[in-house]
Amino acid sequence: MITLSTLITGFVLFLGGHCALALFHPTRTKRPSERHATALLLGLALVPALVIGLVLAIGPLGPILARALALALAVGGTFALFRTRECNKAKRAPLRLPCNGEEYFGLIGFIAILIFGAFIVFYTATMPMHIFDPVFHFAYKGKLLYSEGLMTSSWMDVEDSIGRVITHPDYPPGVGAIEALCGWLGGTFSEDAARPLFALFALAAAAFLFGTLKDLGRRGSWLAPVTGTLMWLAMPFLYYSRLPHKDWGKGVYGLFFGPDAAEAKYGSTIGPKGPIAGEWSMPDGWTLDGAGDLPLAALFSCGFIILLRFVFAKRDQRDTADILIAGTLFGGGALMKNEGLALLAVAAVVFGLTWLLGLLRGAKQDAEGSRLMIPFAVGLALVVALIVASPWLAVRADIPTIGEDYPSRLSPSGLAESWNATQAVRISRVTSEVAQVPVPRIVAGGFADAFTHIPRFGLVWILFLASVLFGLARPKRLLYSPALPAALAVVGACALYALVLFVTPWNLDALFKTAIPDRLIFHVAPLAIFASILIIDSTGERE
Amino acid sequence: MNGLPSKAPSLLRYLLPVVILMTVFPGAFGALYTRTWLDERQGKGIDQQRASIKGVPWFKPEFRGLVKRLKEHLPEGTGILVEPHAVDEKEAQPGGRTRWFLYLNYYAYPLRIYAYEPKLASGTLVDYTPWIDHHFEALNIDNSLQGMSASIKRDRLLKDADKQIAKRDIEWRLTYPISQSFRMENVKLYHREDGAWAPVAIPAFAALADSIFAANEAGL
Repeated sequence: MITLSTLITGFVLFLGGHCALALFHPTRTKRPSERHATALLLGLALVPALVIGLVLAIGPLGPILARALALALAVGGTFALFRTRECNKAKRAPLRLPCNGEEYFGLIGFIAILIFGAFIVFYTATMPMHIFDPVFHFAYKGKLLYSEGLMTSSWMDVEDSIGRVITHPDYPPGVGAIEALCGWLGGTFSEDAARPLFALFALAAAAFLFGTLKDLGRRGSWLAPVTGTLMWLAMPFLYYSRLPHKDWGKGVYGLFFGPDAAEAKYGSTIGPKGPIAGEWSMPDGWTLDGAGDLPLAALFSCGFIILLRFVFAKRDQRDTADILIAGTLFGGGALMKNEGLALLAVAAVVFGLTWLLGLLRGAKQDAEGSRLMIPFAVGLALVVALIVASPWLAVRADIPTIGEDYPSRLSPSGLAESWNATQAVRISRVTSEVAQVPVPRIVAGGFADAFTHIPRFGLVWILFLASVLFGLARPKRLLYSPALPAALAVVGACALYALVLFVTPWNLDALFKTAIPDRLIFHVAPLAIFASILIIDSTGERE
Repeated sequence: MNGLPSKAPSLLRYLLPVVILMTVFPGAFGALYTRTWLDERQGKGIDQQRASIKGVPWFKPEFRGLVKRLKEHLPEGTGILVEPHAVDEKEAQPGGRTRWFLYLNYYAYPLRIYAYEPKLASGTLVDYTPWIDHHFEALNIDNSLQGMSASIKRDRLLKDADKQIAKRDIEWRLTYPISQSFRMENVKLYHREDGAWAPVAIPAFAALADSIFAANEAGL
């Protein structure tokens, strides 16, 4: 539901981001869509960091302090917004709508983007928060921040034979910080009032992709921005993760005509306890319900692209603000989900490889600038990320870890053990029959299912694979393209997640029922779209 | 890193129509969702909306009723020890949807929900079975295990539990059967009186809770 506090919090996040953007003093002129999207992403990263830092320092903010903070951010942001608007007025030509015959699909696509953008807001505003993770892993931390702060007995008292209940106490509280702020501004905590704010992550990433691909695609063409943005906003996984029924034909029919109509046409599925009627009794939709996956996907992917633009820019066009913005978004991502820290490591390795490749090929940008510019920029971005995430990182080690201490499990012996291990997998829904299957095969099967699940991801992953193969067929062009580091980051993140699933203490069969590994690969979906579009858009260019 | 010059046709011109075509999946979902919303939830308050969503255990009216009653009559911060007292015969392998203590922990907040072995209680589904076993095998909560060793182990654990309960000033205990369905008549409430748990009938709960609260407020 959209309440006054939802609207005020949304504006505070947006204007707070503009305030930060002005402080970073960017020199690169941005399209309005990219500028506002960058500001919103900055707000979505920095404001939670600020809230967590303040809660750590002085305890729950309460309505008065929160409203004072909101007012300060709003005033500063409004001033910054008008100032940058004046600066940009003279520099940009007005946007031309795609109206020539060649690009009329661009116009249709653009209208579809607007429709899906509106639907995201409607969807988040009209559905109560109802999925396990968003409520119990994330919103609960929002309640704790709102009422009692960090590091209280609610977070810590899990070590004795009797104690408090808290799922994943060491999950970062960035999502909860947004919900707590919305609660203070409205005077009462409500996860349902905060739910529409998660639409902002999807919309900001969409506007950012649009602006960036408009800049990086063919000049004057709407093909790249419209295709990329539509692939993101129309990715089914944003809205639902399961078809109404597990049987494909029945599931797809149910999606189009309703689960009951599918039931009537195909008959009931018989499960171990009898007929399974109306399997899809609710729309699920992990991403927009308030879990950390969408925030991480938006912040990490956009941060990576911003840093990529700095690294690949000509020396005189490099904007130091891009490093600070990218670092802030990375830090914000680390506050949304623990995987944000792992993705930081992936980014560091990928940019390291990019630098080495540049040195090997004697790239122009290195000849023009310092050879150490890239490592310096990436190092600075990582430092900024750690500073942004520091309010949480400062206390995280003291908060108990329950069950999922992955770093300690990712040892050679742990991996070797998992390589030879087997787990029970249910092979029939009708008889509850299970079979022991090797863990590597379960993990590989889970990823293969996710990558090829078209009703869930549309063409995103198939297109990514095709574009990478296409790029590899023209290695020289790929070597010089920013699509290469983006694609490497996608592959690296997926490989890292596969390793983590290898050693997870979870039963994989049970875990995969909660839309894993789909929720993991979703973290780099915007980056995969970006890389695919760049590679495909370069078709027809001479190598 | 500038835009590419437009020299030759981009494959995107063929891809975009396909991408537009693929919007039928989320488009169908959007249409179905909107229709459901119009039919079932439009114009309803948040509680009614929650009640209309099927398949979410913590939206079940009886559960919401219990939460409402507890929050109305117990002061903020009151500690409640929540434990399963039986396993529904239908639950051969209790699934995640039977974790009522987790739902209560969120929705009854700021009441403080406590559990035995909180690490297992807070863990993944893999930890859920050992958590249940702890109640029925180690704590022998339903007295189903006989024999000296079970009795000694149980007494030792309960002695430690008494200390932990006193340390945390837990005054209430709520027990429920492990089951996907939630029935108020299957929930049992106890109040701690002189170190022992005295059963309180749910209908009498409100009056008792109010009188205890009033007595505490008056410093009796």
